Amino acid sequence: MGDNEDDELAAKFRAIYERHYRAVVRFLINGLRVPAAEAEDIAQETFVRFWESIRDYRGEAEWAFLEIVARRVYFNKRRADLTEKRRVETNATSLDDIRHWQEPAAKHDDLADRELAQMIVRRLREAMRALPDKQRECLLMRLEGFKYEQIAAILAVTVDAVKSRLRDAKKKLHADLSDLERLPWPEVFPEDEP
Amino acid sequence: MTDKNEWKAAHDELLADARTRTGEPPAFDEVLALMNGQLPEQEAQRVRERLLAYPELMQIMVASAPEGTARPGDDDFIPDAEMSRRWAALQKRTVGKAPVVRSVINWRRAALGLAAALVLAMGGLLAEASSYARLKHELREPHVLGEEQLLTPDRHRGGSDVATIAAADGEWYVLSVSLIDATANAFRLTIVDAGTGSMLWRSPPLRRRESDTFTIQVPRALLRAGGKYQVIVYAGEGAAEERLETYTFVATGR
Repeated sequence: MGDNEDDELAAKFRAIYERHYRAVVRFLINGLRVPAAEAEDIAQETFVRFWESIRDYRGEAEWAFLEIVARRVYFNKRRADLTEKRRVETNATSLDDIRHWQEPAAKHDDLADRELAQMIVRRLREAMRALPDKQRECLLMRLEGFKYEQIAAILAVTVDAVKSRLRDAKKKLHADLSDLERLPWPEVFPEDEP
Repeated sequence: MTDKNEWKAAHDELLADARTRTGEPPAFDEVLALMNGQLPEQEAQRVRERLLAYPELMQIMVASAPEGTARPGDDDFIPDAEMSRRWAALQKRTVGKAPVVRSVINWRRAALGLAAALVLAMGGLLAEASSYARLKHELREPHVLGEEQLLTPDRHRGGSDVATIAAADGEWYVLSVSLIDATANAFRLTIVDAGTGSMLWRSPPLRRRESDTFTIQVPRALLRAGGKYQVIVYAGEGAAEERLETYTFVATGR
């Protein structure tokens, strides 16, 4: 590699850094919800990857390329964290570890409340488990905070199909849980329009 | 006394079950291929099941870039001095990591991956679409596109029969949809199986062009002969996206 070419690549890299670094950090913090403390490291790694492949870069779709690199870097980091967490949990054998996972929703003070909460969680879990797979997938994603459009993209179906599955899920859950008085319903279902 | 925490607790338990059942999270490239519709159905189902058990990874794949730029006081604002410090830090990290020549196809595929699921041309951009086609389908020789078939929006058909579309050159359908009275500047196209509601393909966000026309080159193998399909055009972006037009047609195969 000649000196001139080195200089050109370095100048190109600097220009791209100046143009997009702030946007990458903004995307990480306010798009991907990366904790601010981690965002600098992920952004730096994104640009290191970009530098490594800069010879292949032909000047088109600058942002699209950086965006996908940023997604890839953060995805791989979270995946590694999850895999490690999973390994630790799989190896956890103490009673405390097991209890931790069976703890019902917190903030119930007396035994009666705790037992009621445990019963409701069990009923909800079984009712959701009894849903057809496609309905359960949509419901779990909605409970996780995904928008209809995002669910449609992941499941490769239309938004209308997602809403339809959620309506069907709600009907079935209502039927299965009709004896639970005053059960609050999360706002994850579409309006009951036809 | 009950509250919505019970839903969350039940949801968490189901997720834990799913993680136990499905094992390790899927790899980034698997998810990318899934979202681009590049996996056979059985493999797609397997990857999708593993992905659903890890919503935090799903979120990374579907999150949108925020609009606008950060201002002083925002949590993501970076002043000039901090930009300089980070540039210096970045240079230290790139020392010894000389740029290397890789397969151009590989990185371009990755960059276009989330966006380009099929060959797509807009207006006069057939040359560019053709380069996407080569990326996607590994075509090694030039080919001439067949005659395009203009679809009429359902609401303008006046109750007449849906269009019957043949693959122009035996291998590709070349479908053209024109926007009528559209005012948005951003669009997205999908192709949906009208019988099952399944989405077969989803375009990346598209900018408006002078011709107000999108031309889609669809491999014959994607559509079942005799099947009824819809090209749906959405206008706007993100949460503001709304359905603009639907173009229903029947594919006849060759």
